[in-house]
Amino acid sequence: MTLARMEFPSKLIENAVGELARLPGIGRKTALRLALHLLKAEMDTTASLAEALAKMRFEITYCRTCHSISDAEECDICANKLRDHSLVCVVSDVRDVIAIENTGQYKGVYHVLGGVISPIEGVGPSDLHIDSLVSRTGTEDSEIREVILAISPTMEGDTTAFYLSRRLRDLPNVHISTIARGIPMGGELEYADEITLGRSIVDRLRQAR
Amino acid sequence: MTLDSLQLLFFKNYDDAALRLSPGLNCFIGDNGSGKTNLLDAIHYLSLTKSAITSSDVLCIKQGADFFVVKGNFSSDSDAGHETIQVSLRQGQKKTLTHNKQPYERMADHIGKYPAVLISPYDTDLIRQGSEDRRKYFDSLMAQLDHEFLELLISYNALLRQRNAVLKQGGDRPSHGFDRDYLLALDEQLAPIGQQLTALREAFLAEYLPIFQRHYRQLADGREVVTLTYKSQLVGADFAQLLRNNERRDFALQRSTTGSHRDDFVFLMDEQPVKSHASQGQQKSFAIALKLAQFEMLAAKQQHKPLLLLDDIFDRLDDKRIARLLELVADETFGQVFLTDTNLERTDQALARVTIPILRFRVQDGTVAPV
Ligand SMILES: Nc1ncnc2c1ncn2[C@@H]1O[C@H](COP(=O)(O)OP(=O)(O)OP(=O)(O)O)[C@@H](O)[C@H]1O
Ligand SMILES: [Mg+2]
Ligand SMILES: [Zn+2]
Repeated sequence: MTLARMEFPSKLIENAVGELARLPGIGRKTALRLALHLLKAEMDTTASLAEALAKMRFEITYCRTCHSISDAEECDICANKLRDHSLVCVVSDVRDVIAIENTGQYKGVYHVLGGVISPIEGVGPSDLHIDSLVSRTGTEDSEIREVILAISPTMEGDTTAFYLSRRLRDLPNVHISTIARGIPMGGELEYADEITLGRSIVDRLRQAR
Repeated sequence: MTLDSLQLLFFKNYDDAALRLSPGLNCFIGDNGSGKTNLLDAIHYLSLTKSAITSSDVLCIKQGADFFVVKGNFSSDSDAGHETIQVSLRQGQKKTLTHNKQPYERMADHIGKYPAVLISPYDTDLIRQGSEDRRKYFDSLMAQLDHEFLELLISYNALLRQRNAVLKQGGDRPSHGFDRDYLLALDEQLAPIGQQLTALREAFLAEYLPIFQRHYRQLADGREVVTLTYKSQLVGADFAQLLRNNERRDFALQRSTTGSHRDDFVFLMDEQPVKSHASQGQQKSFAIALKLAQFEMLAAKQQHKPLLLLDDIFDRLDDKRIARLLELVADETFGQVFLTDTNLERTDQALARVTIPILRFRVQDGTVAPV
């Protein structure tokens, strides 16, 4: 008998398993194991898990400058005066910010696009935080001197990088560079190990203007 | 490269079939509709991960079953080790391909490793059908010869799909107006790849053409001169500029009207189109010469000879041509050969002078057994 058609002794467990199994990477088997684990643990465990998840979902906001996840209107990185605000690293999503922060090699700030351009899936430039990057970089009093494109070298990632280069290349006094070395072709940024990723951002390539 | 054994599960009209094969010549004999071509097609699957005849993988699952498996054990002359290739498909799932039980991450990595050449009555479709069939035929051959070509072709097709999606959407959201950089970001990537594909197709044809012409002469003994020319909008042109020039039309038609995907190979006999000018027999010889040239190029590029799959050649060729083809077989120009026929006596007669080892199989209603 397959799990999909499995009969549960309790409707409550069935509901919980159903909800858990909707999460990415979790099948019904794993969902059942998690549910049974919570049943065995102290009630507090479930209560604090539920509270943490709900708080995260309802209270988290996005930074108005870089669109990264933030607890306030401006994220800790953008608010940090000690970081290099002339350097902006453009990534597709928050996971990449976390990955690059974990290398400890980068002292600039970020810009989170919220995805990559994928015409087939109906994701065009206007669906991403691209206009805000251009205006952030292009204002007269902008501190930004270099934009680092740190986007996974997949087909969609490349298209996004090509597009950004076109949009940014007429801005005076702004250099565009890409991380290139060390990231395997067709590789996803978040899977690159920290040393490789750290080195590739230090050794980033300046694009010809 | 030798296919030592073949195993089928719910593939086309087979339930469960297993056969040990000869390293020389294998003959599949049976009535119309018994499953001879399906056996050759199964071997084609192991080589190229797809059917030579059926357009969709799902149609290869036996009616009433919900999956198929084709498995082959290969050995090479150089080392003693066996290699197992298995293709399987379950309804509603992705096709899987394994090498020694290890799944390939990309089907493309398999292409060219176990080459096979099929000569079949369908080959003349290449002459009669549209440019897409010819382009696909030469693309498939070039992909087996040159992995870089295959990678470029995959990128080209992916970028083209993206570009066509942009054209369909009218260039980003209507509320945002027309965004020219969007299309240009794709064209900047597409243009150099298209240009490389053209250069590779030209270089390929320069090598292929004399081999093809020699095979046609040998096979047909004819006075007519055959040739192939490569036709592309990109020859001697700047693809990036072509894309610019056609931008308005592309948006109007919502598809890309210029590029490598419009290339064609033109078949000529005495400077006239083969399709309208050549006789049926000449067309058949033309198609067979294409395939023999394909065999020669694959054999030259690899340490192994491709498997040769001969479907229904007795029905389609005159005696002189069959004799010439079989001379090549006997000559050990070819490696392992698989052929089909409906008549055991005719096959035996034709093969009387062939000295390589022969195994005969009787094919009957989805079963196969040695004679
Ligand atoms: N998915 C499928 N399920 C069941 N039967 C199938 C399937 N696909 C094809 N067949 C059947 O397999 C039969 C054998 O086909 P095949 O082309 O191998 O015959 P053949 O022996 O080569 O005949 P011929 O001498 O006429 O060329 C056909 O009757 C066809 O209908
Ligand atoms: Mg047949
Ligand atoms: Zn921020």
